[in-house]
Amino acid sequence: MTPPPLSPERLAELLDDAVQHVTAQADALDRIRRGVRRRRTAHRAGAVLLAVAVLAGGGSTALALTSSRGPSGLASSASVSGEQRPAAGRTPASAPALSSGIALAPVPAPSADASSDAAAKAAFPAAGQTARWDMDGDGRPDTAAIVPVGNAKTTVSFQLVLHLTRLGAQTVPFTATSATDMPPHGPVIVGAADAAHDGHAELFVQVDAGCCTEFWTIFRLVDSHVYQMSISGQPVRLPVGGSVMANGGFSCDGPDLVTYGYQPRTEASTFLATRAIYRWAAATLVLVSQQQTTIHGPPADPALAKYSGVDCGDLPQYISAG
Amino acid sequence: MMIESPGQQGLDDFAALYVGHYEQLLRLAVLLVGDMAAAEDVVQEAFIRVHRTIESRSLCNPLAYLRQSVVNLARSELRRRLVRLRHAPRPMPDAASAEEGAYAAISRQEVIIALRRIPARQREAVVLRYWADLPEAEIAGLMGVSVGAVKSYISRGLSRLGPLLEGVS
Repeated sequence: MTPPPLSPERLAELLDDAVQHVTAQADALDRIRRGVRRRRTAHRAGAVLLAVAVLAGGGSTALALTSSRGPSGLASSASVSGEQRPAAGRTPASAPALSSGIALAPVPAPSADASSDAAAKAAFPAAGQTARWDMDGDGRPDTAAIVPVGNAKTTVSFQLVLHLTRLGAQTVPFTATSATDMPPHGPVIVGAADAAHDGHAELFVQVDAGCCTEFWTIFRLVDSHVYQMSISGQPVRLPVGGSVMANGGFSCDGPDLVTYGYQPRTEASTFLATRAIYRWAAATLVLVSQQQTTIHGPPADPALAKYSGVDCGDLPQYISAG
Repeated sequence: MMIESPGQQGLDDFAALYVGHYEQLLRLAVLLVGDMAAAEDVVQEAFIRVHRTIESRSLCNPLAYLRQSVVNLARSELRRRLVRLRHAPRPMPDAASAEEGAYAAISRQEVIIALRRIPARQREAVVLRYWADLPEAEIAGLMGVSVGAVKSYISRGLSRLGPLLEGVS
């Protein structure tokens, strides 16, 4: 039997019902304002970048954004502008502000020659500020940039292009689901830290981002080659940040990487918190133990606080989006 | 409403624009993209673009500009999602997305699910017509198609949604 046609009035009613409980988050206007401020900064930085690129005569399409305050950077096509990331205590708002954008330099494409290599090094911040970028362990700062492969607006394939002072140029292909036509405009180098406590910095790259949660992957130097870390055969994707209802993070605890997070259960005021310990083993993180706890209480319950945030060297600390 | 630029008056007008329309635009985005987190991204980005625009020039109809931005950004978000679905690796064994729980409720709604199952153009036309209550000519402008095409999208959208929403109370 054919169902009766859907009347426009009935559809309007159903659509209204479907979204009537959707309300703005209290800090939405603040997020927009922060986004505007960061966009403005990026715009100015972009102009400087363009001038530097033109003066350097670089033919490369890749640009690196490196922070003078800490290890963070972004590479993208020349038409994409980066934004500034606060050094710490960042609220992971959906506003597209995901990279420290201070010093900018043309970075050689994967098949770079010696002159473009020199250009990349010339624009890197002073040694004292980039010591934490020392990935190859020779005490000198290394550089990194991300280059899209294929259509810069739609691709999910990227290359991490590294210039290691001791080991030379290396390229690591990886997949990131952050398309470049939407914030955060492709993957972003979040920072570097000696997370494995082995004297070499691991590089953390954001490969996806939603409204409140970002997903980070890790690149590590193993036997003179840089690899993307994996867990159970899959590239690492660490959830970072969130809201008061759900959150995630990790800490670098001695030889281990500890991931944690919580999310609401179907019962009111009940959360499922998870903590997992991974051991660094070459280019793999091996699960050592995992613990799940049910927490009863309001979203602001202090018991939940220890299941959020990042505590790992100089990586940005994360606070709840509220 | 016209927002002058720059100056305090322009910023006050922007705040008024936010207060008056943010929530409605958020709801529009939820209907178009089907989930809360992406909708927030879309609407906040649209407001950021308006703000950036009024820094350099006046906007005669900022609401229309916002609506247009939301529709365009929603399309981009859906394209991006398709790419993600094709290429996304499996999640880590212990790590569900933090938003999953918080936003699961809206994704489970029958109406949202039904909207996801019809073509994007039909969804846009139906939502703009029956939820935003816009005239067909304005929808045509927003979607960048003719009025005839809008009528066709609406008619087909209604036909496809009928069986999908049958029995929804």
